[in-house]
Amino acid sequence: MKTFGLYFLLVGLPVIALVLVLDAGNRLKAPITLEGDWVFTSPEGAAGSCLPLASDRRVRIEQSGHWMTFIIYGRTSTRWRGRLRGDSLEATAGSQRCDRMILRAVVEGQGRASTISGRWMPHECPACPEIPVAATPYTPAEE
Amino acid sequence: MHTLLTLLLQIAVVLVVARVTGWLFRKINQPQVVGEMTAGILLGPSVLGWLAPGVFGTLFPSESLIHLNTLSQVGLVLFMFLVGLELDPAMLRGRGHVALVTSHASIVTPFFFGSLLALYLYPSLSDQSVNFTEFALFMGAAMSVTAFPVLARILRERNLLQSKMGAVTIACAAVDDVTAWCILAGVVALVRATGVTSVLITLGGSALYILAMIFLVRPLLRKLETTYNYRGILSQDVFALVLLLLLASAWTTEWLGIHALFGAFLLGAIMPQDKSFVHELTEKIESLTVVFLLPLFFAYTGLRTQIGLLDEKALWLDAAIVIAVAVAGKFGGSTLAARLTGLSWREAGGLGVLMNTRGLMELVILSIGLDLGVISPALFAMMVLMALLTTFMTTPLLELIYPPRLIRQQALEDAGVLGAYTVLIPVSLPSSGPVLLDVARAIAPPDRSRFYALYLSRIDNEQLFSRKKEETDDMSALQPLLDAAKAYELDVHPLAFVSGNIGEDITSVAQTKAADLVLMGWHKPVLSQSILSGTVYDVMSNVKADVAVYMARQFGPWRRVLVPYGGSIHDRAALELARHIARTDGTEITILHVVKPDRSDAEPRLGFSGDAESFAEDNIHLKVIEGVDPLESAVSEAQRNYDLVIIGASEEWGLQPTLFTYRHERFARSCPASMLIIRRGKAQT
Repeated sequence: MKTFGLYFLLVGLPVIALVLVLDAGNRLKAPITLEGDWVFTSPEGAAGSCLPLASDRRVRIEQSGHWMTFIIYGRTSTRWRGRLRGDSLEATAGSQRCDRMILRAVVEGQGRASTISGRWMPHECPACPEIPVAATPYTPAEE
Repeated sequence: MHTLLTLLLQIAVVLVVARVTGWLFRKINQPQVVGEMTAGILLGPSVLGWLAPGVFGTLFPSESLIHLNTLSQVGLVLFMFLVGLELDPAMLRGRGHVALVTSHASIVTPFFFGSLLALYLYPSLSDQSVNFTEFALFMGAAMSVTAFPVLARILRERNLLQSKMGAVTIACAAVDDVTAWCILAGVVALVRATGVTSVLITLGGSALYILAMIFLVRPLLRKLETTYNYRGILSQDVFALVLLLLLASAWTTEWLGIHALFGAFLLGAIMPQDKSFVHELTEKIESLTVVFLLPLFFAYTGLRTQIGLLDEKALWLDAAIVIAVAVAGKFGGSTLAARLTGLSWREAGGLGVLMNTRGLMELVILSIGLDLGVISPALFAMMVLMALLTTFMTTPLLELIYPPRLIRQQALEDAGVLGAYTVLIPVSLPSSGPVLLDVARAIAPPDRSRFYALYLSRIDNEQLFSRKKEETDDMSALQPLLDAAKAYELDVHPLAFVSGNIGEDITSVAQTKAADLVLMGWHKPVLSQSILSGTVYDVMSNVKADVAVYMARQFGPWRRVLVPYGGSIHDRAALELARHIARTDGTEITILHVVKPDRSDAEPRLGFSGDAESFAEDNIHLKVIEGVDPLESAVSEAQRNYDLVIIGASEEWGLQPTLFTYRHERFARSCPASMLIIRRGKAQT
């Protein structure tokens, strides 16, 4: 009887609690999925040398929840870090002429993001122009 | 660089770093596997890629990693087969309700804690491509796994397998491993499923597969075992057939969607537990897997572990929470369950610490999770840190909670050896066993003595699956001694196991068995000309009991025995042994004391209060001679037709234990008689 009681206390109760946890967890919402390859595009001529990457450039996004790592295709050593808050994405990247560029964008889509649109903003350079940017998921046909 | 050249270079670098790091970790009393896990991190982007990105990029270009991964996956398939082989259903029998409740609680509690943690981590470290149930179940499975091979090895090394705590722990770990892998197979099937139909196909296929393994494959394996037993050797054909079955099993489970590693594990688990068959299979597979392929897996895991992703305080806080929950769930849950089912707090704590060891098994599960996309790279890095830390903390925590002193005390209580005069006889060659037994009988009172014969076979430190070997052929080395003991109607307890350090293990056994005397034979060391060097030196330096080394030069009964006596504590120990020998009829003992010609009468004759002349035995005689150099005088006396010389291992006689320097040891070289060199144990010095 004592063993049965112990078994219920140490095994049965946690199993019941586990079911409750699974039920509660299914109401939670994780960040939208950005993981995958994207193509970043900026208007022609707007880029200048401040743009961290050429237009129509393929970028891989590695996602850990809110936290993103942007890896430029073919240049694995160049990485930017970014963070997603709700549907707002912010990332910081280095560029050739400007010290740092900050990407502020909005992510749209259901479950998996379908577009990223926003602006590249030079860090601490009010005179520098902001550069519009848009990104869509990469599909092999685009290459 | 050419693909093959790159791969060969990668393998070479991985092996060198793994061996060196493993060696360094062994030096700090950690299992080799912790060092190898760390080596993987060192070679990855977290350390090498951060310190020398150019070297890292050249050595591990991303396009080359697929080959490294393939090799490491083959290694894992073999490793999981070995883990399955190691599981012996006998471990679970007769463990009672303690093992039942504790093992189930040690899975369910961390599983629950893992899923509870998922409530916190899912919104911040996962994304919408992952379903919460899959995420939570995976976190639960990852939190509840135990490194069965590492745990079994630690228990074996500490002589804890026979203790109540060790027996319950090994049973719990076995249950945990099987359960965790079954749960993981379920999670993998769930993640890979594309709809209800595919889930049903996976479930139905898995049930059929398990039935086929039990009712078709297992009888086939029994036939292979019979063939092996008939022939006495594992032929290449039988071995190839086992490998084919392994590949087929792994292929089937991968095809069914429950991962290849489950198939490899299950084939090992259903293997008939004939010790020699399993041992030979293990031996054939183990070295290549553990030394060559597993370090590749550690390296590949390290290459995917990006500690750099934890670049915010919040992420490090999450990592700390992951580690705390992992320890609380596994250590806390197991300890509490063991305590409530009747183990003492200390035993329960020891069990909890051991069950908390995640080791390689955790890395295997995490790699599967990352491949499936169930866990993100940052969470993967946190969990790898957790696996490393929980494995690393095992040894020091076990020392703290369950110190060797207590293990020894418990072993003594269990064996009931307190009060007896205990002689430990380490035997290195089977032929020397009966000779040493004769010496032991002469110097220990048989009516109130307990004799242990010990044979240690050498083993590499990193071997994980050596249980079968120690249980099978090693006792044969003690057989001549045991036969002699039977003829004398003497009760001798044989002990045989594998050892990474012979000297340390003799010391450890001497302490565990509370030996009063360790009696060793002498064999010429490889690195020295000295008698008291090598293993003898290790034992004499560390063991608390008296240590006697016997050098056989003459055979036959000891009629005339010489005891050079200078007054040191080691000489006193020699005198005590001589008094035991004096009980034998027809033995004459001569105690030789050399005094300087110019000594004053005030000096005591023998330098100790109990004068040797006071010996009541008629056959013990004191011989006092004058001499400038006691050693020279003793050497001259020893030439006079003695059968045995019993002498203290002291500086006075040129017999000081030494590591491996060349020592003249003139007395030992000049003495024509057999010698028994004794060093008083540390407990009395």
